[in-house]
Amino acid sequence: MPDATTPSRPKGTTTFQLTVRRFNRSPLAKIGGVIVLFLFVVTVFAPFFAPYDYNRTRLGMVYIPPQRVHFFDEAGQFHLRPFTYALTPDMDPDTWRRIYTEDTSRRYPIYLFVRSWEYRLFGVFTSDLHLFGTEEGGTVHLLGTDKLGRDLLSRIIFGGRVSMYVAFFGALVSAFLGAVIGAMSGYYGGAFDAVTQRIIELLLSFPTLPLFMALSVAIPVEWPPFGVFLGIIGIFSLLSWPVLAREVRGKVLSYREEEFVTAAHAIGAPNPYIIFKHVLPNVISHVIVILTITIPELILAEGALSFLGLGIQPPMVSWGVLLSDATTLETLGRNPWIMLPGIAILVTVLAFNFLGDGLRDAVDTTSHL
Amino acid sequence: MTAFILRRLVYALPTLILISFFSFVVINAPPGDYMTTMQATLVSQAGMSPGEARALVQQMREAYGLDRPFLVRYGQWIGNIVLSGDFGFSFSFRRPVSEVIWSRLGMTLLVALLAHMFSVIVGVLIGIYSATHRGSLGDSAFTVLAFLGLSIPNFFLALVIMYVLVFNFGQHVGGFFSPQYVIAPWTWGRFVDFLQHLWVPVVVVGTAGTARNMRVMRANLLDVLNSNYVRTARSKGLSERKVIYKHAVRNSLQPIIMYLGVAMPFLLSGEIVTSAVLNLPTMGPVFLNALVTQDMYLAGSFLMLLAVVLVISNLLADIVLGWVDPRISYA
Amino acid sequence: MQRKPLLIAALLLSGLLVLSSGLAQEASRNLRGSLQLDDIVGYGALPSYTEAPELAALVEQGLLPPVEERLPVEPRIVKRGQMVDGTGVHGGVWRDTFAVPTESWNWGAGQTQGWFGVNEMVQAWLVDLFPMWMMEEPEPVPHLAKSWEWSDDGMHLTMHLIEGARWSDGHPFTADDVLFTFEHYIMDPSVPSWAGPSAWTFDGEPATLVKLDDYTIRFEFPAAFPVAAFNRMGYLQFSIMPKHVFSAYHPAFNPQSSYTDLLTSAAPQDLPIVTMGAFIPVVYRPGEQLILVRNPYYWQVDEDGNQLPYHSEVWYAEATSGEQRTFNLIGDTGDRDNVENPQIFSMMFEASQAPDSHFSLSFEGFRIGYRMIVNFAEEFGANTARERALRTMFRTLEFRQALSHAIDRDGLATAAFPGPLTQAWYGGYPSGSPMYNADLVDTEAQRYDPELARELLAGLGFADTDGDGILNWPAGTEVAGTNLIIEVITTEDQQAAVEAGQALVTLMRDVGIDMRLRVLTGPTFNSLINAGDFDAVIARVDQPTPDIQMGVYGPASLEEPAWHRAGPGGRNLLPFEQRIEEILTAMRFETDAERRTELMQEALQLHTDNIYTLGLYEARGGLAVHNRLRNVPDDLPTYMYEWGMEHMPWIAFTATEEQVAPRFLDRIPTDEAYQNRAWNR
Repeated sequence: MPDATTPSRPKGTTTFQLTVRRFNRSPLAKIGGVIVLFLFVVTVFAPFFAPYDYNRTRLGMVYIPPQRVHFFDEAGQFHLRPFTYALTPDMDPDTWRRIYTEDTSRRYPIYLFVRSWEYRLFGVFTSDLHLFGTEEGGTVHLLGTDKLGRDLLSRIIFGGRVSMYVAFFGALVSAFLGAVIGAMSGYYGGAFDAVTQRIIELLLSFPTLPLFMALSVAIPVEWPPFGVFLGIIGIFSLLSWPVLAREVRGKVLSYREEEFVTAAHAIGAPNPYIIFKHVLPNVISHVIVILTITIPELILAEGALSFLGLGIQPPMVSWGVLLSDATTLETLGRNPWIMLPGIAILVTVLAFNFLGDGLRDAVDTTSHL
Repeated sequence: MTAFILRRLVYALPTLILISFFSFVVINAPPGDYMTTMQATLVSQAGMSPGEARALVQQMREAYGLDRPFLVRYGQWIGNIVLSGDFGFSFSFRRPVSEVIWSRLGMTLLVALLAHMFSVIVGVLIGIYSATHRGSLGDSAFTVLAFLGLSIPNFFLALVIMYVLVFNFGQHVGGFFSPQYVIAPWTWGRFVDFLQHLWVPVVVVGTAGTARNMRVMRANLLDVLNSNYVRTARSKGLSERKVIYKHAVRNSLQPIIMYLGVAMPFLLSGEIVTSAVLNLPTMGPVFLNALVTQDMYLAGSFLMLLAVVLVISNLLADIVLGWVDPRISYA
Repeated sequence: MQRKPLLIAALLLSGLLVLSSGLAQEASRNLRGSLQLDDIVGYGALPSYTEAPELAALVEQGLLPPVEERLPVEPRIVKRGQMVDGTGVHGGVWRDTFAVPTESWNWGAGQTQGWFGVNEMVQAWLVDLFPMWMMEEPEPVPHLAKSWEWSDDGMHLTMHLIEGARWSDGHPFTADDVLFTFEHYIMDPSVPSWAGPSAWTFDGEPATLVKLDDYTIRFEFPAAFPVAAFNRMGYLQFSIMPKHVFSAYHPAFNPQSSYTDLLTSAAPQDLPIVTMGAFIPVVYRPGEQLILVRNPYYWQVDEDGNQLPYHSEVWYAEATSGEQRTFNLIGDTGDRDNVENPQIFSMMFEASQAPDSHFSLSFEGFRIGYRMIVNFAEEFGANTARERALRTMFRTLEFRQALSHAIDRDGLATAAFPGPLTQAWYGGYPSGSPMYNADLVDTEAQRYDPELARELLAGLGFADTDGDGILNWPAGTEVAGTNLIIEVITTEDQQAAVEAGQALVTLMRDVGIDMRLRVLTGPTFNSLINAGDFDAVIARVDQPTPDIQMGVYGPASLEEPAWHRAGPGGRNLLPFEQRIEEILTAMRFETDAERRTELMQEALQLHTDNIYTLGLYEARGGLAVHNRLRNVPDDLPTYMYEWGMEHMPWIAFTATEEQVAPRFLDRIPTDEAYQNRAWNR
């Protein structure tokens, strides 16, 4: 409806604008979107955000609890720039616990955009710039260290990269497969449709995790960690496309009878052309929604697989691998910060779910809000 | 009605056959077999020479028919299942597979069903509240909470609960019973102990489904609340509460019943990992071990059973739905 | 009137006795190295015997013969010397935890009943090595063999078996069972027994066993006085198999049976079993619990005539990992724990210090060692050029020195545990071993010095020619120019070894070596070890007794040590290895204790001077015991000759008021339970 501030010329709203408007109605979806964006940036530029190399081992500094960041020093003086103290390892004689005492004689301010360890980005750029860090001799383990003295925050960041990549590429490939197969199935019908329907039914009859587990065991032990990484993506792709294929097929079936399709047919346009140019764009929004919903499922699946020891293999690190370090009760009892990767998974999956939910509501014209 | 059931059953048969074949293929994918593991153990623990071990293992392979071609093995396996209910032999348990699975299937299904009930009850209640208080703070809070349940990895939740129970409450965690009640007659004490252990996996596995049920309930209830017959009931003067509970809820429950079929796979998957963390005597840890040691009849049978359970629960859900909802006809 | 002085005297005497026994008790809660054989065990008939009430009840009902008929003519008497709390009372339950599923009850065929002490509950062996830790002059202790004598020329060893003992089904135990075990399990190459024919080979010839009568046997050796043979007569390696049960499955006795049938017999659910152990398994719920009840025919008693064991039942909770045993003890659903994982020391310690703590914790000497071994075999298991080149390097002292200088042992020890329960280890035997001598180990020669490591490697011709941070093989070697890669394997069951391995990867990279860690499952790990198919291994050593388990530390046979197995074409021992081999061969026949120590210490020096193995760090073993268990010595080792606590269940008892009530007394097997079983149908 035109109002006083718009030009008098009547202006319609496109589907896209309607979708965006619906999306904006949901605060949760927007939060989710922001978090997802943030995660993407962090994981792509992981080395920049990570204050330490995720494999940097310091045997004398194992199981440091999340380090305290100070603004006030021993004398009570305030410093604008937060700082940490160096840590001295020791053992509490009454409990035999590992303790770290702060050496308050020297402050280590935390700087932004520091230069420390070198890394390569995308295999091309070399850099040593990091978001934050401190001087030589000081430590800034915001989330503590693990059993080999490796910085947990850095490991969570790099682990997130692997988990996200696995989930994202797995979802992407499966979305592509599902969309194409579903579209062809819905469009062509006949024997092709019948066979794919059977296959889809078959694959959907199995609970996903046991099937993932069974196939992961088939990955040869001799493969290097990167090969296993690719193998997991492959498995995820192979087993996730049925859901999308079904959706797409349904949509395609309804579109197939539409006039613009019969018209294109009449002109003599080849079938694949029709599928790709006319039918698919209409279902693309649904594909994106399902993609966004599949990613968190795959993150959880990778987490479970690696947790059970069947997924990503060390020295590659993923959130599931990090959590498998947290299974022993002695770790939980003494070093509970090792469980933090679970929070990372939780936040990520939550964000994707909010986003995906919001997208689905936005795209689906028949839903209420 | 019976015709409908029969038709669905017949329709499901080819799917079941495909399921069994696919399961067998998947389980045999890894190279080697259980005998490879056995051979390694013979050489290492028993100090046999590699040649001696190989000869003995070959003997065992022949005895179990592991040296026959793939299709022959599959045929034997499926034939035995159909004709005599013999699911094969478990090498790691030294017992027939059916015994191993049977003794654990009950618990597995119990946990799954209770988890489903938990997620349904909690989901429905939250959904009703959300629908009737749409847009309020409570609605948003519950939505977030439901999502939380959906997003938290269940092994992580199991770890956290285990940590809290052991270190803050000093409770025994692990298995379904405290050691003094494991092999004991059913007394009140044992029952209480069982519940004290049972609630953890039920809650952990059920939290994921809660979100879905809540959302569905909420959406359906909103739909129904705006529909004609509810408006009619309101205009007739029925109290709001009666309207909600009597008409709306009953009609909204349908999809949730249907969801049992869909939810089953998630529940069983969730249970596998949770069982590993909590050390439960269900099929989860057994399946994991069977995969790693290539105890193939055990792994294959269980995988197949999971799919079969799914198909059957879908079928049952269909039937129940048809029975409950007079709108669906079965011409 | 005359009674009074007597009374006073009696009171005084009893007072003195009480006082002295109290004092004696104070003094004798530590048993290490303090006893003579006579203080430990004896054989004889006692005037009367007392059985547990539940057994007496069964006798009353006519379901069991009276105790005098169930015991041997001269039962084995466990002497007070071993009992720090004196003779005990019957009843109660021993609660424990195991983490390996029961494979079967056919223990002679290399099958485990669950480890964690389960095996010891049901097996009975020829000679006992465990009590040696209590003896001033350690020597093998009689068990089912009650005495023995060597012939003058040392070629024959005649052993006398206990007479009139019975299996748990009442069937008599005789020399037939011993012979059956030796000939058809141990010496039968198709049966994967724990000790095989090569263990009984001396000077290239196998020993033989002859039955002289029902209770007398004779070993005939091809060499004189092979005293090391006693090391093969104990738990596991010579646990007796009941002939009347297993001859039904053994192909030598039953032509319709195959070895496969033998190996799959005695399935875990086939209960109750026929055993001479102290306890009989009667119920098994896989993954949950194993219940054992006392054996009515157990052939051991205490000095007061009480038939052992004292405990009526044993409840074993099954877990998926060893940690559960620790948590069961802390949660008071278990009665003991071997604390071996340094990560857990702190939690255990705190729990034991709590004011209401129900268990005590003690740590012993350093007996657990984590080490890396490198493959010395020139040919065996070396399949590629890289592997062959690597073997040559491993056989070079400077290379091993370089590896040693690259290891930050203190760092590893601290990472495992921040206090004095772990420390750097420089190879050889763990320092808690009675054969250890710190003066002979040159720690300076193995100090952490990455710079020196790099120098040594450069001296051998290694240089980083392609600038990727990893050294390259020198020209002239088969693999010149390629990266120096060492693949190290370890097993996932040993979490501490895995972590040490992960730390080593970084340490090695520091000096330019690309070390790759592969964590394997148990069976895969073992198979690679036995095929010699590895570059290096990181694993834990449990046995601090190198004079008994010689193969863990040097060339005691063709298959030992694991890092220098002989292939089909033999093996090429380095000069120092040859000397160690000579020492170990001499050890098989040496009886003088002082001389034995001398020899083993010479071997220790050769071992460490030549960096035969790369020690990483060693840890103290911890023993945690529930306060209600009596007769557990304060200085009981976790492992000395045999596992400690695992040999206590038939000596320990619980005071009546603290006993956990048994619940399976109705499951004690009588005749009926053994009728119509698969082997006697």
